[in-house]
Amino acid sequence: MSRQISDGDRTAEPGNPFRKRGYVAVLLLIGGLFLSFSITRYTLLDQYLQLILMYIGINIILALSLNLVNGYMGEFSVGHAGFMSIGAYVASLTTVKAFSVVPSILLFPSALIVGGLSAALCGMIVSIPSFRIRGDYLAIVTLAFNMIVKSALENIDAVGGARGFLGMDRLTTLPWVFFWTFLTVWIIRNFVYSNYGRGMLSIREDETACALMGVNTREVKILAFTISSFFAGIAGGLFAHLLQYINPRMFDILKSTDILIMVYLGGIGSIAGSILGATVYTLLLEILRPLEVWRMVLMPLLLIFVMLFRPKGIMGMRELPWIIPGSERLLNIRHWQRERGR
Amino acid sequence: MSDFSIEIAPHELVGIIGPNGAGKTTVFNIITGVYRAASGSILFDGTEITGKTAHGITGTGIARTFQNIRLFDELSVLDNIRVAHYGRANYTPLEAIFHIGRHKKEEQRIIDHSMDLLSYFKMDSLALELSRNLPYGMKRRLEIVRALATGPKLLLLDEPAAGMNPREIDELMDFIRWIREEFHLAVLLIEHQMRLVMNLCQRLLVLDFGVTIAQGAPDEIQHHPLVLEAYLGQKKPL
Repeated sequence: MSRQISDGDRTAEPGNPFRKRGYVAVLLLIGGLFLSFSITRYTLLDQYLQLILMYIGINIILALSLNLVNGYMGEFSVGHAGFMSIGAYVASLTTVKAFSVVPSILLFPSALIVGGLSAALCGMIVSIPSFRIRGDYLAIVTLAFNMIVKSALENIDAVGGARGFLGMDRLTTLPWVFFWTFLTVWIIRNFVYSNYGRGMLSIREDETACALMGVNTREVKILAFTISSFFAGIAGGLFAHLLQYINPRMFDILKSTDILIMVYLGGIGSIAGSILGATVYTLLLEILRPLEVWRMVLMPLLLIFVMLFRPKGIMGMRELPWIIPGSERLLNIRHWQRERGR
Repeated sequence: MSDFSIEIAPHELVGIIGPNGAGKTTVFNIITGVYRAASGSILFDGTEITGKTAHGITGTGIARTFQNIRLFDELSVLDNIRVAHYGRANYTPLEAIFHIGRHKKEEQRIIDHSMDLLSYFKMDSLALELSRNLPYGMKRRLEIVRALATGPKLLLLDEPAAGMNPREIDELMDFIRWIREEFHLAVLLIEHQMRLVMNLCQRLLVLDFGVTIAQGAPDEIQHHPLVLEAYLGQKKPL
C-alpha cells in the first residue's frame, strides 16, 4: 500500500533478493526460536532481563491487536483489558483444571487457544453495537464492557472473586512468548494486506462511501473485532502464566489505557509502530523505575509531547518495508515496470 | 419525497434537476440503500432491491459518486480502486489471515484489473499516490473510476460538474458519453449546470420540494411552465 512506499522499493528489480520474502519470515521464526531457547536453556540473560523481554512480547501482542481496531479501522475501543482478562482467566482455569487430562506438551498451547477463542467470542459480541455507532459512543460501550467483565470476575467465587486466582504453573517461557508474538505480527499483517484489511482502512476513511463501494462493513467489523480480541486473549493467557497469579483489578480501565498509550505512542495503522510503541513503553517503565511515583508523571508527559509533535505517533500510518508482504512489493515493481515500458 | 417514480432503460442517460433542497440526492440515497424508503419499491434488472443493504445493492450493479468528493483520502489511488473490488474478491477470511489458497491469485487478479482500469483512464502513473494529494479534477475522475470498478450497469453521478469551469464541463460531457459507450452503462445524473444536462441527457426529470414537477426531453423541459416557475419564479425561458 502506498503509505509505505520508500524509494528503495521503486528501484528494486524483479529477480533481486527483495522478491523472495517468504523464507525470510521462516528464518526469522527459526532463528528467534533458537535464540530464545538458548537464552532460557543457558541463561544467556539474567532472569530479570528475560522477564522484561517477555513483558515486551506480551505488550506487542496487546498493542498490535488493539491497533487493528483503533488504528486500522478507526474505531475507538478502550476496553481491551477486558478481552485480555477473559483470555487470562479461561486459560488459567484450563491449565489448572485440565492438567491431568491433556498431555503436558499440548496443555499450554491449547489452554491459550481456548482462552483466545473465548475472548474472540466476546469480541464478536462487542462488534455488534459497532454496526450502528462509532466514535465516542462505541468507546463508552467498550468501556462498559471492560467494567462488566471486571465486576463479573470479582463476583465469581469459582475463580477466586476479588482475591484473584492462582495455582497455575509458570508455563510462559521466552520461546512461547516469541512464538506467539511472531504469529500475531504475521497474522495481523496478513489480514491488513488483504481484501478485508482494505475494507478496514476504507471504513476508517469513510464508512458510508465504503459500503457504497460494495464493502460488507459488518463482516469486516466482526472480523476485526474477533481477531483483535483473540490476540488480546492470548496475551492474557501468557500474562497469567507468567505471573502465576491474576486478579480482576489487573485488568481494569488503567490496563486498557496502558495499551492505548502503546498504540498511540508507536503510531496508529502501523505494525512496526505497535512493536516500537510496546517496546519503548515497557522499557521506559522499567528504566524509570528508580523515579518511583514520578514515573507516572513522566510517562503521560512523554505521551503529551509525542501527540503534540507527532499526532499520529512515531510510525503513524507508515510501515517498515520488510513488514510489507512480497505481493505488495511486487506491485510496486510492476508499477515501475509499466512506467518504464511507456 | 413523495410519489416519486423513475424508470431507466438500459444504456439510457437521464438527468435529475431541481433547485437546492429539492430532494435530488435523497433519490440517490434511497436507490443505493443509504436511506430506506418508507413505502414503494425499487426494481433493478427485474429483481427487487428495496431494503437491501448498501453493499448488496452495489453488488447487483448500481454504483455512484458523491456531491462532495468522498474518496478514501489516506489510501492510494490504487487502493481506492481495490476497495471497490471487495464484493468480488473470492476468498475467505481464513485464506486471508494465513495468505493461503486463493488469496494470492485473487489479489493478483484484483491488482491487474485495477491497474488496467487505471491505465484505461490514464491514471496508472498516479497509482501509488495518496488520493488526497490529487488535483480536484483528478479526484472527480478517480471517484468515477472507483464507481466503475464495482462493475456497475447503472451509474449514478451526483453533480459531477460541481466546481468546474466551462471548458472542463465540455470535457466532462465527452467523458460521460465515452464511459457510457465503453462500459455499456445506463447513467442517471444530478446536475445544476443547465448546459451540461441540456446537451447530455436524453431525458430529464425536474424535482421541487420532493415532488416531480415535470419530465421529458431537454427542450420540452426548457419551456415547461412549472419548471420556469420553480427555478425563476416567473415565466421566462431558461
